[in-house]
Amino acid sequence: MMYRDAYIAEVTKRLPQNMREDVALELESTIADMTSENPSQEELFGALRQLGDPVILASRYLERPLHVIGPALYPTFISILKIVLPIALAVSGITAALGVIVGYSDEASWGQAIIQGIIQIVGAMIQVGIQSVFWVGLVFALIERYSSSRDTVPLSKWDPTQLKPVALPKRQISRASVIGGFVWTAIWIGIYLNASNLIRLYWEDQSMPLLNEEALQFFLPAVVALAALEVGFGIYKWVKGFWTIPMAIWNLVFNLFWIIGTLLFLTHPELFSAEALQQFGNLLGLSAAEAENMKNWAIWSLFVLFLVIATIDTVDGFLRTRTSGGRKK
Amino acid sequence: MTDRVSPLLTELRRGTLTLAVLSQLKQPQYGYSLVQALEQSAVSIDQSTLYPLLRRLEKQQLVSSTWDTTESRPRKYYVLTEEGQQVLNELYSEWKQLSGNLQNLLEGGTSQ
Repeated sequence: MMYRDAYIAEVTKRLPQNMREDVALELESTIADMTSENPSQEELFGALRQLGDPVILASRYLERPLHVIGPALYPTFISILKIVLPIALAVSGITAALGVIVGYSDEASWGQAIIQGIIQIVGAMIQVGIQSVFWVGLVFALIERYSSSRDTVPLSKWDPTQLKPVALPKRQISRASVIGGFVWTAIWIGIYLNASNLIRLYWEDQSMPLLNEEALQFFLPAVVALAALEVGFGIYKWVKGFWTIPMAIWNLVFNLFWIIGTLLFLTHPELFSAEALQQFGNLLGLSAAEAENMKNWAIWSLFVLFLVIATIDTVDGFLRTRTSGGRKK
Repeated sequence: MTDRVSPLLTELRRGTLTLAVLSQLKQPQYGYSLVQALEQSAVSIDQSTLYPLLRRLEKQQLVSSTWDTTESRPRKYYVLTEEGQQVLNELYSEWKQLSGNLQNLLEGGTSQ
């Protein structure tokens, strides 16, 4: 009876608490019905084979799919992955390579530098590749789980009057724009990850990082989350195909995140390395206060620029939801 | 049976399962007796489909269940509810029409 109980446990452990006892009892009596009293192991196995894989049996009791991404979404998932992955790999590879080149110092021998550089570049690409597949997969899993499934909506409820007019060109979201968005995400996250190598203060034949490594590390989780959100939103736009009001609202929320994040980032007191600022002042013959002023000026112009872009993007999202422009009754 | 036919056959049978199960539940039946009753009429049903199906029908209030503990081992009996009986009748008449139509279609060969 050890195998019988093990089988039943395999099924019931996948079920909610309130179903377990009843299902276990029913399976127990069913298996007893299928076999003679005190069955041999072979006989018991025969009965269990008829009942089949306990995982499948449990999923049928649950009436829930066994898949994370089902056939309806799978083709889109693959096509998104085919776009996201090369972009992510290319951009992470290029930015890492730039970082390696800029960060090159004479101290190491050529051979050493090349090997180290390759390790750094490949490492960055692998990391970014895994991250992209994970986040894209997560977005699709969530869509699969929480979107109203086609199977459960009775077809009889559908009526031609529900048909929306074919989206006006203005409302349509071109795939190119979504892909452009992915490229944009990949570029800024690539720059961010290599900021200490790429964003530097250069003078004569020297350079030093302009930003503090600690501050960059501090913001990293938020930056990754923001990038994931941006990619997730891009996928959502791709799947939907045209602008809707909820989408415009999400766009607003997303842009708010962007702006708040940028504000927090730019105004972080430790963002700029004091050393670099001092060097900057020395180079231009500015006093510490003047250099500080200039820094603030740069920060706020940058922020205003982002604010303007985000505002335009948000407003554009809402404008695009309008179906006007000759919609017939 | 060729490999090409069997998946199609599974699909063909799937829709008739509910009707087959409901038809056998005018009298109370427990899981395994139902399997045997269906098999006697050469209707084979995957057991891993049957038990969850019974539970779903119960949730839809087409059948009701009771545990009988008087015998040597407890058994869960399922029987049609009044609503289930109505549904069965409707499905049955639909089925008769459907199979008749299909028969015509298959034997008539061409349309019209």
